[in-house]
Amino acid sequence: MMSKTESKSSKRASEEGVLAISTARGARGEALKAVTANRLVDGLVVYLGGDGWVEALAAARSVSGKEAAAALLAEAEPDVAACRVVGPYVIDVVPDEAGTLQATSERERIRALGPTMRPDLGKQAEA
Amino acid sequence: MPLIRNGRLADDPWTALADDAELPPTGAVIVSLARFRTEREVLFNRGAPLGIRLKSSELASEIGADAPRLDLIAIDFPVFRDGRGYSTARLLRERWGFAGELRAVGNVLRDQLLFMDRCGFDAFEVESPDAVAAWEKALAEFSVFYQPATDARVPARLQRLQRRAAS
Amino acid sequence: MYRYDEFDQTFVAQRVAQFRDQVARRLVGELTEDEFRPLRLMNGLYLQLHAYMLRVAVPYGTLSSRQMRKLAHIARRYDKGYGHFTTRQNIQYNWPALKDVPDILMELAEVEMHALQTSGNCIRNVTADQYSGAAADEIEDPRICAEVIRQWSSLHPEFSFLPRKFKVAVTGAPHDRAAVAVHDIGIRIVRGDDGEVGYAVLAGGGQGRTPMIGKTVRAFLPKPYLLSYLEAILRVYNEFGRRDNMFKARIKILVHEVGIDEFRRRVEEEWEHIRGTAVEVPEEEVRRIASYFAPPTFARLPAVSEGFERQQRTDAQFALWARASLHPHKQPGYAIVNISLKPIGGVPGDATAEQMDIIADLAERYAFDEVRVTHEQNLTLPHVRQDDLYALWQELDAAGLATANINTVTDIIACPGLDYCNLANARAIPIAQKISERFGDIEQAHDIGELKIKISGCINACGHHHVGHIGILGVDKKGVEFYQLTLGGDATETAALGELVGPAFGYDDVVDAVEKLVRIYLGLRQENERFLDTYRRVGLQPFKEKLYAAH
Repeated sequence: MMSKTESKSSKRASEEGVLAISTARGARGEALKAVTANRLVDGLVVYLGGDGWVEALAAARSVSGKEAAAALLAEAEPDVAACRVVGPYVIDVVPDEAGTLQATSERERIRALGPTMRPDLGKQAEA
Repeated sequence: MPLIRNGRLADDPWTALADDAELPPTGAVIVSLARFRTEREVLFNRGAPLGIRLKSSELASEIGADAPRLDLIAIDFPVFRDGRGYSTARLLRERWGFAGELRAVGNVLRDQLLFMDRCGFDAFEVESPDAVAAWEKALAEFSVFYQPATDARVPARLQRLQRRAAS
Repeated sequence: MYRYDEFDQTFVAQRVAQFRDQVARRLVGELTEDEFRPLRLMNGLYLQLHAYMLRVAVPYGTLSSRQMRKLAHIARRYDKGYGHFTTRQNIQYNWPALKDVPDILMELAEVEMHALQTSGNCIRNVTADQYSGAAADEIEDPRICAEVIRQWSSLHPEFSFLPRKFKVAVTGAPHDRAAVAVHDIGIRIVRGDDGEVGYAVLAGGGQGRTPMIGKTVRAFLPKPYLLSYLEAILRVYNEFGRRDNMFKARIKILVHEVGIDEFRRRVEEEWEHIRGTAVEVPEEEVRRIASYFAPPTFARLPAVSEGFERQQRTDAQFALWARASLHPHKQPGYAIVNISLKPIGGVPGDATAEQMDIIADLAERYAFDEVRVTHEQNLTLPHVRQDDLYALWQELDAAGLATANINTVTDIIACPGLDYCNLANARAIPIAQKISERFGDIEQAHDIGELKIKISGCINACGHHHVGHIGILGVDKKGVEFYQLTLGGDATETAALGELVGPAFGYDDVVDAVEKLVRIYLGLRQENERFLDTYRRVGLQPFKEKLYAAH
């Protein structure tokens, strides 16, 4: 348990070093958009996936361009009315070397993973 | 919009008069504070019930000593978050002697009704189709109150004293 | 401490039922999020970065063992095994599900607790000196006044939709440990010229983006008029506080814009109308409340425990802890014990469910069943026999709760910051952790002396950076975290706002900058000077020059 925590922690630390680079649009790949929200019933972070809402950013659907992003957001709206999610919005994402989607802003990276000093909490703990 | 007065759905005999509308010869009218100021004597001498609609920024002192001569005061809540109307209501009732209908209008939500009732409102324009049921439920949610307000509910601290005196 | 009677119990039970109904209406869509948000906020429920966050009120920071155990149980059953104690003496849970919150509130009600008015534009949970009823310098226990205010402000029909949130703090001692000067209303219990006890009332203090030190509205208010005076202030604020701009809606802006003299005139004019009316709390009710805060049955003991003296001489670790953690008690032979929630490299203010249970147990055995939460995110056992200190310390140490760093450089206040909070621009906790590790040598920290570092992850200043001896404010510059440093802030009776030193530092540089400031101080200080004393003597310039000097 401890060693797992530590290795995650050090991975996290090394990622912090490249934060400034990854924030720059398209540094690692094409700038894409995804839609995120919080689930109403428990508040957890969710993303619009291929078939409804998913908990992992990696499983989110990503699109290119403003219009496609607006269309994606529009898809989320019925689920607001249906009391499934709260406050959907568009975020910037980029695929990493392995093709896995990563959030570009620090805020969205923290939402996607969990508190940076508690690798045992949030989505990073389940990965 | 449904009107609740003293806990019941009620007809609304009042005409809300725009500032540039002609004053009808008869009938109860509600005018703005601005119009009241310019046509005060005419309005008082009309021989028909008179009401004023206050914006949330118009405070009780602006009606002041005229309050007892009015039959209705409507206080606007442009958004429920704007809580000035609660102070306005209490002051009209407690300081300026207003005894007529005190009506809450605008963004009046069921979860505010108890607060409004406690501050002296006795009429509410509400959107809800089941307004009366909602009103009854909202007022029944609490039986303990920690502070005196405009209403007659006895605060907990007095109930404690009464109980101790009785025992 | 205060105990609910059947009126209080009925009230919180009805509040839980009301919220249960509101949650049910939200889950089926009868309420939109816009309509629900103010309702949940009035029950302390936020939607944060990762999940909901529930802020539970700890009125004036006082808890019984039974209540602390319930907090531990809630952490375990409904959350992730920990809680976070805040600068408003409350506790926050970071992961509750909306559907569970009514049950959590019901469990809280079982131990006479609630989450009422821990958020929203209403009168918030009233805070007080954590040493209430124990401090040697106390004029009167401020919790009596705070409990009177708590009850009066609970679901106040006139003041539940104020222009903005409204925070009240009370201190009963001349040394201000409750930061009353940076509250919307600060109350100091004072003795008048003729010896009569009353209140000095301050208004218009606050932090946030426009920090202000509170100004005295009334230097002496006789005790019977407490509630009419507060009602007068609140009414003036409700009527005249700005509602056109959220950032200018706090009472401090009103006081600043109309001036304290005009503000006071309006308050006193309003007060003339209502003083002595039914709003005042009857004397008998005050006596009833005061009786709950009567001192516990202390043993008659010599002023100094010989055992305690000897144990300090023979155990250096214990002596170091005692030096940092104890505060003089008014009762001979007793001490006030602070429990640091700032382990080196830890998250300031966090406690695990296990730690909460242990502290509850220790309070029961050693401290008349009482625990206090401090606004500096630590806990306090208010009444401990000096004879018991050694045994208590050993048990605290075994639970990782005996870090001897109270009031030192590693006793850092930090808001949750970007790791949890929706409003934050930058992380605060990891900065606190890195500073803590940098100064992890406890002996060295004692040599540096009293130094209060306070960190906020955004301009809302929940981490009190404006009143830190060293204040750290996280800002966002084009998506990258930066940190501004301020110096010379002070939250006590000599309250002052910190001054900005200069350009901000990056995430990886801010800890070096803080260390440099400490070294500059060590180079400048004269005998027995605290950081703040040195700063006040030499001013900003020497710090600024040396901090930004080329290497």
